[in-house]
Amino acid sequence: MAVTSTGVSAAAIAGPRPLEGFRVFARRFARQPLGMFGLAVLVALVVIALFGPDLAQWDPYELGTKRLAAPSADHWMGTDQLGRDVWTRIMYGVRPSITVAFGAVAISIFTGTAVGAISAYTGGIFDLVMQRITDALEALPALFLGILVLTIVPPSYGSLMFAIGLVMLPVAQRVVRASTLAVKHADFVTASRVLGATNTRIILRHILPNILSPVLVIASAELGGAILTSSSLSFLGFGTPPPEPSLGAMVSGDGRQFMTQAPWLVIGPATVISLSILAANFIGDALRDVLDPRLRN
Amino acid sequence: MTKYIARRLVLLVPTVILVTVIVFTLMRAMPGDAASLQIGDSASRDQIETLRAQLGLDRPLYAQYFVWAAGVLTGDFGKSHRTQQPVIDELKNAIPVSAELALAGVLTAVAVALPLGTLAATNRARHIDYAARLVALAGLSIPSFVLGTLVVLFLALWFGWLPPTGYVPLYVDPLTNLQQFVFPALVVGYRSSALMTRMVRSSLLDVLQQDYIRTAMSKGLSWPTVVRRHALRNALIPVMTLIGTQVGALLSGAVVSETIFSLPGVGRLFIQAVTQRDYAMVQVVILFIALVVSLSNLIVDVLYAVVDPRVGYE
Repeated sequence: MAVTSTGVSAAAIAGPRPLEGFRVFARRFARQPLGMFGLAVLVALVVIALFGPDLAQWDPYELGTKRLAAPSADHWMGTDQLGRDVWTRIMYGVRPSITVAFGAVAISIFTGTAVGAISAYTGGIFDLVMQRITDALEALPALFLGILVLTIVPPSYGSLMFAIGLVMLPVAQRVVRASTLAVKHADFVTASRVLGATNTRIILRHILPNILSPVLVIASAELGGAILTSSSLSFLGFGTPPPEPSLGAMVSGDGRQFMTQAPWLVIGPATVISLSILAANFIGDALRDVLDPRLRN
Repeated sequence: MTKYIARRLVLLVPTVILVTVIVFTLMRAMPGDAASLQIGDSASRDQIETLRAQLGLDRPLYAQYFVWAAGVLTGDFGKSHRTQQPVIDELKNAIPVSAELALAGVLTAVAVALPLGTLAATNRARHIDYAARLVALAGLSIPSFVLGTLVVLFLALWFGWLPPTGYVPLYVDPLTNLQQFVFPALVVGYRSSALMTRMVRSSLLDVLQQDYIRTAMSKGLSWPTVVRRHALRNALIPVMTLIGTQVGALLSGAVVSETIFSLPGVGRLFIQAVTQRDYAMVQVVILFIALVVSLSNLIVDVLYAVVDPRVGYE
């Protein structure tokens, strides 16, 4: 155990709680088989997103002579109408899909937490204006709002993250706002105000740690939604532009045109998209079971 | 109650105005304005400027907005720069298509979710419960565009048949209409049915633990009667709310479904208008969508109080 110059152990200063809390959480999560399965799939997807280009046997853009070839030992998921290897293109397509999804969740959670917490804590005009803006955003279904944004800022990683983050912002914001309202008048908040803590300090040190559970649950639920929305957008022609492979776009356009001759063109990417959303949903459900004390037996 | 409805209706006004302001500003931020799109690249600068002046595009943004808003209030929603026809006409043609799709989607969802959720809750932690939850989870995880594409694929591969394209109204030719709508409705409805199944299950589980269920059992009622007459009636209240909040999701699903099955509904109209930079059309579609979503949320909240006497709004 590390001992500081004053002779007090570092662990004693930091307190045993944060790490201990995480261990309890990890143990409970590990008892959720579906959650662990989802986590394994998600880790695999992240590995493919990071190292996919190194793992792939083929060049995703290289035109081959074998067009629309059925799956074989050489081409696990066959080839497309230009002779490109479908599995390689799927591996390349996971990167934009996963990057955009994580980016969008980060944007909506950070912005939603900031706006929601400040809104609930300060109240007044700021709260009123923010809630009306949230109402307005909520009046537009996901794909309508996403497409509107993407017509102004042409699709790229950044604009897709922004568009999907904006779509998910209202829910994140409302959850954080409601959770903040619930702890705002707790005794420990009053106590720290009496001790002269600034508002920033109260929000950062006392309110945020106490609303962490709902924020985590929302973030994991949003991950599946983000993959869903981004692949739907790219299916409709509002994804990262070609020639970069994009899972949603592989199911539309050429994939659809040739799918009756070569069903593997759409079945491969369709399976990967659905599997990644399923994994995210498993994780979300497991997290909710672990973190929501009302559901705990 | 009347006071509550009135207050909600009043609150709806700034929301819808804000939506139109946001969309109006966004549309004007799009690269390439209506004038240059209408006239084409060959036009001279002077010609474009003249047309801009004619269309009022040379005026400040807020002035353009007020002109548009004044038009909306008098029933003039503008003309499509593509067809030169009033945009409201095309929207009016598209609404019945999307309405039928959404309605059929909701019916599908309820038809799947009600029995499935009830079976799951009454057979908790048995095989049928796990099966039902798996079906629901699959519905949440398979995107509409994947399901729609696979449906088209299998229909074509196995039956060599595809739904007739275009739109034939139900009252003109019910059979063709049915062929056109069955599969899109399944695609749209399955997703909603997933959420609804989960809701029916958890809500029914909740109700089944209440004291009055034990009372009903102990006065000798049969289990099916207790479930049907006592439990389900109460369990369905939150489910009804879900249908209302699903309107937005149904409309998003409709965009995808109408694209896949070539149905000329509001969703496809929106995609067309956006890709062709048809400002007036985009604005009227968004206005319509925002009104539908906001109003259905309001209706749900009111119905909630009507159905459940424990809920009151001051």
